[in-house]
Amino acid sequence: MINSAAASPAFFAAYALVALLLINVLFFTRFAWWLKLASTALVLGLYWSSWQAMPALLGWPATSGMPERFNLSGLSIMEPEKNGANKGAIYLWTTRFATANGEIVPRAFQIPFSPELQLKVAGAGTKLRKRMPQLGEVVPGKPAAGGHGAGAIDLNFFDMPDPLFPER
Amino acid sequence: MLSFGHSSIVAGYVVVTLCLLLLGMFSRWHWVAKLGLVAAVTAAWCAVYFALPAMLGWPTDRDVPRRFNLVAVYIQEPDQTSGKPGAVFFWASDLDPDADQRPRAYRLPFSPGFKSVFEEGQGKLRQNIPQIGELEEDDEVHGVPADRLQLGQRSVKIKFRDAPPSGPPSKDAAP
Repeated sequence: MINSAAASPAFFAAYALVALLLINVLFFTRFAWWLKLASTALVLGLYWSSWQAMPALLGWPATSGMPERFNLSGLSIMEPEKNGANKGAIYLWTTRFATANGEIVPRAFQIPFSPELQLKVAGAGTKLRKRMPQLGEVVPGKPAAGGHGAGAIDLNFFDMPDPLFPER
Repeated sequence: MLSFGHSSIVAGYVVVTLCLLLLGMFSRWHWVAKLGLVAAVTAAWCAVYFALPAMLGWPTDRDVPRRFNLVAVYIQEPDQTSGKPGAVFFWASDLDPDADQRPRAYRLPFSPGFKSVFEEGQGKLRQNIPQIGELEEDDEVHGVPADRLQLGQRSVKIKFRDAPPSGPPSKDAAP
């Protein structure tokens, strides 16, 4: 199942445009029949292969689109290698507040590694293990100290407030 | 099943660009129509390019690795009021040394069996005991699948065991 309301219209439009191109090739050109047949086969192959490729994209962490505030569900820290071959990364598994239909689906993000952010995230992880829900906030316009590369951001974590219970 | 990934989408770009090139060079359309077509195809590729990141990060319901390191669990119980079936989400990294080592998000249909197994794994993670998950094919018949698109796929069992001690406690954390 592909869960992306934003992506579907764009892909549908692209598929429709390709179909339109193919119709033009088939009915409004004087290309040889074998060229038209090859075009049809290529386009059908394109549809099938791109549809098969979609699931392979799912599940991997996104590098953009992190919500400004989120509930932290999990974290994983990959430290950079000393030889510089791997710059490291911080992975966060987050949920945002319930969507319009009430379904909450966690989403994974990848952020460039920085020592300062590692400390903050590790601290939040310790609290998470102690069953203290953590709220994360993106610090606007400020990359974390030591952060490198595009997408470097800074985060703050807070203990989630206790839920309010109605008075009896 | 073959895995295509990004190369398939790139190949798609190439194919469509070729078609556009053929039409532009060998068709007798007015130049305005050709220009419009180029603009439309370019806009479509831009739309797809910007739509792709929106697909990332969401859980997949396929390709659960045979052996994986469990990073986190999120269980959504079924909601009888709204009729939502619920789901078990988990975040795991493949233990195959040739596989991508980044954690990947997965989604399984909610069942009491999955819930029990994953809650137990989650409990051990909270105690800082790393968990290794292993996939086993389930030979038992569980009746008609809720999703008919899943016909033909075998259901699976997942078992967790404590990872062997191999150094300092994991930096991963889960609620």
